[in-house]
Amino acid sequence: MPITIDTYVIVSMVLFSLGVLGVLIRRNAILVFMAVELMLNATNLALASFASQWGSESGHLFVFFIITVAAAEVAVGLALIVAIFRSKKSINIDELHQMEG
Amino acid sequence: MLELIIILVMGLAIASAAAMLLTSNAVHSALFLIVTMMCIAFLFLTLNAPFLAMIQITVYAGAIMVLFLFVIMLLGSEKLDAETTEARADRRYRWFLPLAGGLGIAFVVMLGGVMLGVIGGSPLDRPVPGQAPLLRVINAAPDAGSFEVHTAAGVLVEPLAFRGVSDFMEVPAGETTLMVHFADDSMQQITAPLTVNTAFSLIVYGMGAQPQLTVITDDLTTVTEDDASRVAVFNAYGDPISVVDFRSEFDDNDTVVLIPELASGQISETFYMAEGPLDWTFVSAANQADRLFRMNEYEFETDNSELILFLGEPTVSGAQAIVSPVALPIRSEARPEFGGPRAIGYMLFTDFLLPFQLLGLLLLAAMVGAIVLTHRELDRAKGRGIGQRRVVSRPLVNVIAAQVGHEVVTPTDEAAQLPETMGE
Repeated sequence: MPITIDTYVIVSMVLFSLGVLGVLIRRNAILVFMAVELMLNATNLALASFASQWGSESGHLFVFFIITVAAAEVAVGLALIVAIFRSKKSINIDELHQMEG
Repeated sequence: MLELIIILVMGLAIASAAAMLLTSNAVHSALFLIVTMMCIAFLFLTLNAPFLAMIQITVYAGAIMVLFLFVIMLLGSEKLDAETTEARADRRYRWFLPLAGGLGIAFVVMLGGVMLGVIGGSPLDRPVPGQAPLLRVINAAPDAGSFEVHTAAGVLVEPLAFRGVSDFMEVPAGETTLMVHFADDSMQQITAPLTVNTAFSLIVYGMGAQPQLTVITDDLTTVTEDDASRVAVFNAYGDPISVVDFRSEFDDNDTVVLIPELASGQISETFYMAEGPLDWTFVSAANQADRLFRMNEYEFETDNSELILFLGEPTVSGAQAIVSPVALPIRSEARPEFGGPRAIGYMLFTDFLLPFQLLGLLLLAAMVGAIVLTHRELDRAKGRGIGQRRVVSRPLVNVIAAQVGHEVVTPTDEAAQLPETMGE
C-alpha cells in the first residue's frame, strides 16, 4: 500500500475521533483535557500533511500557532483544575455540576 | 522499508492513543499520550516538516506533558476516575457511556465520509495548482533609456531606468506577450511561455538604439549544496566574452577559465560558488589579454541565486561616448528549504507577523490568568469573610471540657510565655 497524503489524513481522523471519544467517556477532568490535546495533535497532523500536499508553508505556520495556543490553554486549564480541586476536593467532571440550572 | 516504518509508527500512534483512553491510571494515560506525540513528531519528519517535529517534541511532549504529569501528581488524582468517586457517579450517569460511544462512532463515520469523499465529491483528489510564475524585468540596454513593460492586462512595470531591476511579480501562467514601450514611443514585444512554479527574467539588452529582448529562466529553488550560492552569467554586451579567474597576480599559469566563450545574449551554465570573496575577470573572448572588467572581491553569501549581468555602460566624454563594460550582480534570495526553520521564520516575520503578535498577547493573558486562578490569597480572603476561622480551634476545647468534666479556660497567657521560658 503506497503512503499518500490520504494515509496521513486517515490517521489524523482516527486520532481526532479517539480524542472525541475520550472527551465524551472519561470522567477525570485531567484526562478529558489530555483527550483535547490529542484532538489538537490530530489536527496538526492533518494541517502538516495538507501543507506538504500543497507545497505551502502556511499549514506549518498554523501548526506552530496551534501548539502555542495549546500551551496557553494548558496553563490556564490546569490552573482551573487545581482551583476546582481546592474548593471541591474532586476533579470528577460528573460532580462538577454546580452550574447546572 | 520507510513505508513499513511509517505504517508501524502510525499504528503505534493510534494504539497508544487508544491505550490512553483505556487505562484507569492517569499517569499511564499521560505516558501513552507522550508516545502518541512522539509518533506524530516522526510523521511530521516524513512530511518534510523538521521544524514542527522538533517543536512537537520540545513543547508538546516536553513542556506541556510535564505540566500534566505535575498536576496529576500534585492533586494525587491518578486513580480518581476509577476508585474514589466511581460508585456515586456511575449510578447517576451510567446511561451516558453507551450514548457517548455511539456519538463517537457516528462522528468517526461522518468525518471519514466527508474526508474521503464517500459523501459528496472527493476533496483529496483535486490536483494541486502550482505557484504562479514570477517575472522580473532588467534594463541592461545603455542607450535605450527607460521603458515601461505592458502585458495584455495592463502595465506590468513602471518606467525602468538603465541598470534598473524590478522585483519579482506574479503573472498569470501561459503564453504571454510582453510589450516594451520605450521613451521615444517605439515598441518591441516578445512572446514567452510562462509556466507555473518558475521564475523568469525579461532582459532588455544590447548596444545601440535598437535593443534586443530575451526571457531567461531563473532558478530560485532551494540551494541544496552546503554553504553555496548559485551563480550564472548573462552577456548583455555586444561582443563575446570569457570569464577567467586570475588566481595569482604573479603566476601567469595559475589561471582558471570559468567560461571559455559566452556570446552576446547568452546565459552561462550555473556555477555553485562557496561563500566568500571572489575575483572574476571578464575578458574579451577573442583576445584574452583584453581585460574588460574585474569584479573586485565580490562577496558571495549562501543560499542566493545570483545573476551577473555583463553590460556596456556608456561614459560620455566630450563628443564621443566611450563604452566601458561593467558586471552588474543581481542578487535574489533562493527559496529556503521547505518546512525548515528559515522558511518558517521568513513566513512568521512577513505574512504572519500580526497573528504572531496576537499570540504573544494571548500567552501574556494566559500567564496572568494562571496566576490569578491559583493565587492562594484570594481563597483565604474569601474564607475569612464567611467566618470559618474559629472552627479549627473550637472542637479541641470541647473535647477537653468533656473529658475533664467542667469548663476549661484556655490558658492563653501561659501558652504565649511558654516558648520564652523554654528558650531560657
